[in-house]
Amino acid sequence: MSSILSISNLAKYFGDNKVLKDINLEVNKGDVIAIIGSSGSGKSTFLRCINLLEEPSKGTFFFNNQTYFSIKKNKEDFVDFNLFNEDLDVFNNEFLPIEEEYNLRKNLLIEDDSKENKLLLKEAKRNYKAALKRKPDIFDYYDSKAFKRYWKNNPPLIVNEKGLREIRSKMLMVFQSFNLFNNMDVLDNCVFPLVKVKKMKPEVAKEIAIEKLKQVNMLDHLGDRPKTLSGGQKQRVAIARSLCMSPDIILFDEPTSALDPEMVGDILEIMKDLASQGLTMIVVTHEMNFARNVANRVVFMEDGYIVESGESKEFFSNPKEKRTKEFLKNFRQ
Amino acid sequence: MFDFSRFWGIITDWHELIIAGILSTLILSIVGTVVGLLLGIPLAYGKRLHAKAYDPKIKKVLYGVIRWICNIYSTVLRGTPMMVQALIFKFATQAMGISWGSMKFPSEILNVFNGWFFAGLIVITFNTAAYMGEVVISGINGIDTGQIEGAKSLGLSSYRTTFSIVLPQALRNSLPTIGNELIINIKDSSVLNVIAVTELYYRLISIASATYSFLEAYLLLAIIYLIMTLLTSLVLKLIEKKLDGKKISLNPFGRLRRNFNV
Repeated sequence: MSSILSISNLAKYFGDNKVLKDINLEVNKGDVIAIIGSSGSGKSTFLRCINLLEEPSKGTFFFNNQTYFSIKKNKEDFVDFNLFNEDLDVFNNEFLPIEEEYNLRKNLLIEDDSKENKLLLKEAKRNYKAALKRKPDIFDYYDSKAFKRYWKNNPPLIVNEKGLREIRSKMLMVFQSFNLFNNMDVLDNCVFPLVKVKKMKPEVAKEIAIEKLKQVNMLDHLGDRPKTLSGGQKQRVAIARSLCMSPDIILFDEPTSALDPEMVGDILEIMKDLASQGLTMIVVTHEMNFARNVANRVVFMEDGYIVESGESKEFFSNPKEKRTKEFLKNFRQ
Repeated sequence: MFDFSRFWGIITDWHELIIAGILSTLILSIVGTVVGLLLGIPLAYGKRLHAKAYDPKIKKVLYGVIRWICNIYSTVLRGTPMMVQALIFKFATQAMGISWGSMKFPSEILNVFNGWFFAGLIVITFNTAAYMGEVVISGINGIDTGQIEGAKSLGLSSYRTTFSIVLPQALRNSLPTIGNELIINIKDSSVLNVIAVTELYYRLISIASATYSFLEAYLLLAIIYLIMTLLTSLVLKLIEKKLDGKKISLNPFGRLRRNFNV
């Protein structure tokens, strides 16, 4: 088995909010990987980082014999966290009483809205806002000189615009909100990327598009605009659009979360077919049955880390981590 | 008082000048709006230009300068009256040695095209472009950003995405506002008479002072403007219907018949 996609040391920060912290994942050809976890655990951000829709803070990505993104150290690694935390503590000691006072004044005003109380609240609010301005910002604490020196010696490797487009055309994504082109009909939605990205002739592209639309059972709606379709139909078109590009891997970002239960079954059936045809997939999902029966590997994420990952049978029958057991308890019943 | 014979006299005696004025006004406003829209698109993108975090410094500075210029352009042109802009344009170009008045055109078709007409056309175009920039921005903002992400994830270039997915929808959604701009231009092109553009208003005031029938002339002027704007909004509505793929019928009883199966 050869690995076609490998991700190591992926991290993503939004300011001092660490969404992903050190994620590693190897994907082999034919793998169906289900990523599960509670909301806000960073599953979707992870998926969007893979095809660089979201720019990762650091990490090394490898796809089809090519490293397309590599940043070993980023700004955050040059932040003096000791100093930052010290200052944050000092700030909190000063700030918490002011905040308490402000909240107290707000509550007092509900009981008694005299002029005096209003003035006191006004002053408390002013103090509160002034204090909030003094909150230390993490990027004031980073050693910009050392960071620049490091990047000069180890320049970040990001694939250029053309290379990125090529990678994305091999690594398709299916979204929760479908993201079809509203100004084109169903057939054009599938033909357009083939003609423009793969430079195919329109007649050839049309044949391929019709074949794939047949596979998802959407032949009756070739001339319809996405606006007139139901959610499940839209998602089927989105899957067909991805299939047209003959991808090496498809990333599914909660493909069934916006659908009703009947349609969910529909879409999952299509995905099951694709899996049996040997398509490599990474699926962020809340459908535990899909993860158990179709996926061959399951990754459980929590708070920006991969808590546990393993063969799906093993994962569901015999979870090792305490947190995983807690999470799975909700689905056993 | 209003005298119908005088009113009718203006129409019969001066209709050639009036038609020339109508043509001039229509060409000014339609060409001004269309070219203004074409200029407004790059203006809108200039105002939205932002460099990415990892871009080199020179790109960031360049983008900042372009954005700055675009913002100043649209603020100044939208914040000053078109009449003042026309006068400034006139005297600035004259100071530079361009004399619009002495420009000669091979055949003066219906007395419409002359040097001042083109000066007016330039003023109205650049003025409209500033407003169109805002119209296009709001059109772009109104599009579901998921489509742009979807296009990105398929490997489409940002150029392709812009021209095949974003702009067609943005322009379609802002068509009512663009039409509104056209109607405003039909009326507001009258201020260009200050730089001697021989549009409808200019023609009618000269007719009025030649015949001393002011009330009749201005009433006629109002009626012609009203007809022009009404017809324009009708045409725009038909275009919108056509773009939505609905059937177009000019028969006002058509809807009645459909609704009541008469």
